Amino acid sequence: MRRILFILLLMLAFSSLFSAGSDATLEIHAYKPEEFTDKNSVRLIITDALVPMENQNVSTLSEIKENSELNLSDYIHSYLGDEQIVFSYRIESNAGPVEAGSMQFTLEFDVTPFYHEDVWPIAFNGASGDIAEEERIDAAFSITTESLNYQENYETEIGFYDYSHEISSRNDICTHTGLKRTLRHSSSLTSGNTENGNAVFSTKINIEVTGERDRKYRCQETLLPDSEEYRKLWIARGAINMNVYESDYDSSKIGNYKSFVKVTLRTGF
Amino acid sequence: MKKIVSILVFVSIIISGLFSAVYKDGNYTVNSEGLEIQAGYGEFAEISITPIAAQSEAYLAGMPFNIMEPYVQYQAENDGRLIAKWDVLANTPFSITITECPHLKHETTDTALPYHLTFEYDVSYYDGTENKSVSGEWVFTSGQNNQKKNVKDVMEEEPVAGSYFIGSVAGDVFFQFDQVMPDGVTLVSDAIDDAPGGNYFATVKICIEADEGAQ
Repeated sequence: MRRILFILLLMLAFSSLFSAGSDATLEIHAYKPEEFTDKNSVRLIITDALVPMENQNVSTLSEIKENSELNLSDYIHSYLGDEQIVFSYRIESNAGPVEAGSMQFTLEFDVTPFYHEDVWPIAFNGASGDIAEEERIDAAFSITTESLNYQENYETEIGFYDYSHEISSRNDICTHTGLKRTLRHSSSLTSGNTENGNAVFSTKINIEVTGERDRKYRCQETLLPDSEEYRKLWIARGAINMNVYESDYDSSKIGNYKSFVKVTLRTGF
Repeated sequence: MKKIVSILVFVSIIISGLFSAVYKDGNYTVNSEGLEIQAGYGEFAEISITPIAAQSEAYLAGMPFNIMEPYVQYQAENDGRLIAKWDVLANTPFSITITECPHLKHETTDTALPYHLTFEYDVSYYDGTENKSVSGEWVFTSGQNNQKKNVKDVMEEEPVAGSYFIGSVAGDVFFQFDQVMPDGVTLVSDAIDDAPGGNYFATVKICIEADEGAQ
């Protein structure tokens, strides 16, 4: 009797597994950032790769000042095995037309090891002395920025720009004269490991203005000849990947882990 | 006549056991420790759609996407933005219906952004004498429910009696803004500029049905 029941249960399980009809749902998410109108400012946007939403972890640093700082933080969940993107970042500037010269942005990333969820939360201060060794898992991670060649090709068509404008007549199509920037950065990939909670590494991204080029930009709004309107899009962006090596993970540590990441943006000229 | 069919018979064979290394005549033979075989008989079809994480491929694909991003607008005016992968496993011809496909809607206002979803496919099937394959795309439009596509439409020939379908479908899903809104205004660039800032959502429901009659 038990065997018959077992077979019936088995057939029931398979019939649900291999149903003739199947449904799927696709969730489409899009967002439109709130207008970035603060002049002479820069902002760093951290986007969670899983649930990135408008206004999530967006912080604005108004009035660019030398060596000013902007801090953001985000929780991430553990990644075991394959390297995965945990969040992406984008630096936007609304600093207006820039004279020939260079702007420098420095991004620093402080990453803790993965702590067992049961012992979380703990204040992030770069130290982990209160956490037992067996409650931690170190992680490997890398930070990517887009390559220079890719940027150049990309920018030629659709990339970031800023412009002053000239208007032939009001309420008419206007033509803007663009100033093209070229992104220069010191590396396209940086990687490291957490080591007992110590801060890991920093990477620098340098922005240089390399020249001017004319650019036609469609405009259907009324602009006054003396308008100070200008527009900036991103000036640097990339992703942060992280994983936990299988070899660093043993069965006695099975559980949910969290890590704490602090991203610091510094600007200077 | 097509209808959703239930599974007729399932045969499950589970073979398990322990096998250890055997030493014989100076050689070791090592077998696996267990072997599990599952077999299904009857018609079935399964569909899965896997969204691509946001900006995981150099910002060229994935969700959510920033509709103010120049490259998103560039994609919306051209080939569409890759947002998901989809695949089907079936042993019978089948139809796919998007039962619900609402416009992309702002989270707090009534602002709706129409769009197209393009399902690219590569169908492989056996028509009774040889393996065949065909590629193409199905386009679905937001704001219209119960848009049905039949896999037979993409086959070169109607499967003849006695033949059978053992096929798979795999492909990409692309998002593309509708070029023209209901009021006739071109959406891309201009209408996006007028849309309020914030989050936009759409939940698309897809149903696959096995086709008993064409077996």
